[in-house]
Amino acid sequence: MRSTFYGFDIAKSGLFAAQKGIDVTGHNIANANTPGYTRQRLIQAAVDPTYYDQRFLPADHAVVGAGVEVKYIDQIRDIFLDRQFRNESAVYGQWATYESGLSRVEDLFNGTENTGIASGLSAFYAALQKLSQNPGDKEFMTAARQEAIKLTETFGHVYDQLLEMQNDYNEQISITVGELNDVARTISEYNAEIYRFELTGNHANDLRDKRNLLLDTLAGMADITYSEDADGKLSVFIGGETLIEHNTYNELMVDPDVANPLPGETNMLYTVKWATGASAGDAVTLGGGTIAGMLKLRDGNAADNQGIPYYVTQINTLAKAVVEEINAVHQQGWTYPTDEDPDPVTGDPVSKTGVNLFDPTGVDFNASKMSVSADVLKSVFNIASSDKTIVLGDTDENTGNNVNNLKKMIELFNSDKLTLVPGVNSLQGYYRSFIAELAVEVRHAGNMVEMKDALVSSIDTQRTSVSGVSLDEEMTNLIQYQHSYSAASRVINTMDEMLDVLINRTGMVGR
Amino acid sequence: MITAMRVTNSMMVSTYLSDLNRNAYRLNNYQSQLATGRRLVRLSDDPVGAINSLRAREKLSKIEQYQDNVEQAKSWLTQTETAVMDLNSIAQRAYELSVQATGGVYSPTEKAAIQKEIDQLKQQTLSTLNATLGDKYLFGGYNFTSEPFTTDASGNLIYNGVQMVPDPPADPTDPVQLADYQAKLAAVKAFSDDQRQQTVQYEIGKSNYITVSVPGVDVMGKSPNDLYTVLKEFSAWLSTDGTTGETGLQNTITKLQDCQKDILANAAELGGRQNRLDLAGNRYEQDYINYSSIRSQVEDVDQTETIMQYMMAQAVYNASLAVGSKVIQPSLVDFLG
Repeated sequence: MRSTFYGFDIAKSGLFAAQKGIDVTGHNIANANTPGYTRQRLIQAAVDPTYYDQRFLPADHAVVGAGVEVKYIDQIRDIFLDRQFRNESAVYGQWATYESGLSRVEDLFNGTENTGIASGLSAFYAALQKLSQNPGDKEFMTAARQEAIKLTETFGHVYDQLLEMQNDYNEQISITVGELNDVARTISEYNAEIYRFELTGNHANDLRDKRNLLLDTLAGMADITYSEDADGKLSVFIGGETLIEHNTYNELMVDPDVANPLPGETNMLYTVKWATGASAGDAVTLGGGTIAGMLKLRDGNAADNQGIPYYVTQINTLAKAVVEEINAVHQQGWTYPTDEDPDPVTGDPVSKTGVNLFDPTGVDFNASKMSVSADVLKSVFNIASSDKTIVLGDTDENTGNNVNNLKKMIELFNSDKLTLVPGVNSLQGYYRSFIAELAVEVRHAGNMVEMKDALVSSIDTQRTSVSGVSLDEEMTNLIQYQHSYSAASRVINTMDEMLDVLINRTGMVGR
Repeated sequence: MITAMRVTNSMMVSTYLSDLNRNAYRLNNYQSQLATGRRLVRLSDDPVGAINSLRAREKLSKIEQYQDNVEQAKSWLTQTETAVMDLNSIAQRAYELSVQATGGVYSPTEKAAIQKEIDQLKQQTLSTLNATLGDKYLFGGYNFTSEPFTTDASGNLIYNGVQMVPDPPADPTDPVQLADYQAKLAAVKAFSDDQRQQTVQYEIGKSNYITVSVPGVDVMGKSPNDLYTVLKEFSAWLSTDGTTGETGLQNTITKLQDCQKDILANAAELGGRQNRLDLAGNRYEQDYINYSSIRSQVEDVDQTETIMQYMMAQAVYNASLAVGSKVIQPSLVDFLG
């Protein structure tokens, strides 16, 4: 037999469910633009008929369920897409960082047709030609020295900027590792909270959303793998080593223990290491992410691993070739006797041979050490055009001799058979190859970034398709819940009227 | 449950934004190209083009240098030619005078007049030989800075410090003096050969040199038959009363003719070099135009084509703005009561 007020409970449960549904819809609508928000929905289930605890089974076999029950609030998210997104994020992060670094290197050489190394070499060549027309004329010697000085300054400038970039990335690695530690700590805190919250049987939807957002960020920095076990505890790994284990985490640190491989530079570069945990003190194995990209930029020194050191090495090689080839030829020439640099013993002006135009390359030579020699800085007359000794007197000898300059120094710029520095068989040709390699690598990196960006965007779009809030859908739900609330309250009204008849108007005969 | 593809507001917005960004990027690129006039904004836009641009520029710089050297060489040669033609006129005048002298017996005054003119011609020769271009001596070989041709107290020709015609031995029969004289002749010959190697050259093409100088030891004939020495001998002969004989005069006439031949040979050689320079100059003018157009093709933007592409990109951009704004705004909310 049915209890009198049984129907009220059923309708009441309908009301509560509809109210809850409207709350959830309202929450979704409010968070339609929240980054990382996953849409939530109400999971309701019909309540089984409550006859199990009655002593007697009802006489009829038509038992009715007891209404609706709100089971829990679920969030709609595809964890497989999440995993894909994070994997691709790491690859994208590495390429994006690498490409932006290479673009900065490329910027040093863009639009430098009139100011860069190629034009510096051309200007020096032009000055030498003018000098060959006018050997022994002070103005032309001064012009040639000036072009030589400008050339050394151009090389030095390029070198300095590249080195500064390398230092920048070194520092950025340190900063990013700090950020990574922060994120790891926050995730571990969320882990603890989510676990605690879900012990009560609720779903920690909004906390999970926040944690997922942080995992996305983390995935861009380093190539993480993660898993959540049956108890709901999350573990995150980098390169196989544990970063986060539920509510504890291991920190990464930077240790300046690698000497800068570039010659002539003595600063120490950072290695990323585990600070705590089972592998404390070991280097972190990074296979992707922005940190890996920065490491590649800072360290890459081979044709199949092109980073800033690779380009610096090539600039150094070219500088070395310029200095050594020109000096080798210049030493064979004879200088113009001058009072500005007389013979130290006799004090008379004298013509000298074996003089360098640039300071010789020593150990650890790099492009910033390139400079015009002290002899030539002291006097422009120490620029040797002649191939025989010059004598000034009653009759002058060889004051018009330009053979060394013409046949040897100028020939350096025509030659593609230079031999002093391995790899450089033509001065301007080497620079062109360098530019070609840089341009092609930047283009390649740009293409990869575009490709990976498209992939990541596509996965993200799919994620949003699954988890994003559609206002149209929420509006529709709102209308449904509103109607179901109205209908439930209608049921209560009906019950009320029915009972009213029974209670207030039955058995009133004779009153 | 997901049927087809569920499209949410945020998806539409992010798709809209990324497409808009792509259009804006293209628009920005065209605008940059038009503003700078350069097709290659970045090296990576066209790596091969960047290299071709560097090559073309290097080539143009070299051509400019070669053209400059050609001009300088022409100046030098022109100045030299002028001096050589002056020497030729001097030799011609001396020849006329020498022919006159054979004509008959002259009075001492007439002889003195001829001698005076010959002496003047001698001076003129010396100053012509010390001609300069700017402040550089033309005929000193690698000696640009001090007068190459001077005379000593006895009027002997000194070239770059060496007496070109050694004094003959006082006693030709004395073997010591003879040997001494032979040695001096050999030394002058060695010196002359060395001086001939001192050629002033300019580069007018890749490893292509032109000699612009004429050796001082050859320009007026080879010593001891050079113009100055012959004029000196002629003057000395005129000082005697001409009774030493017609043979002396005949010798002088022959020597003057030979001198003139040598001088004219030099002039012809110089003419040949000028032709070579003219050819080179013309060729470089053409080369310069060719390489300039190569450089421009690679580096410069084609204004009309780029403007058209810019207008199209702008139209696409405007369209995407207009359509996008209409699509992302309304939702069901606007249509519910």
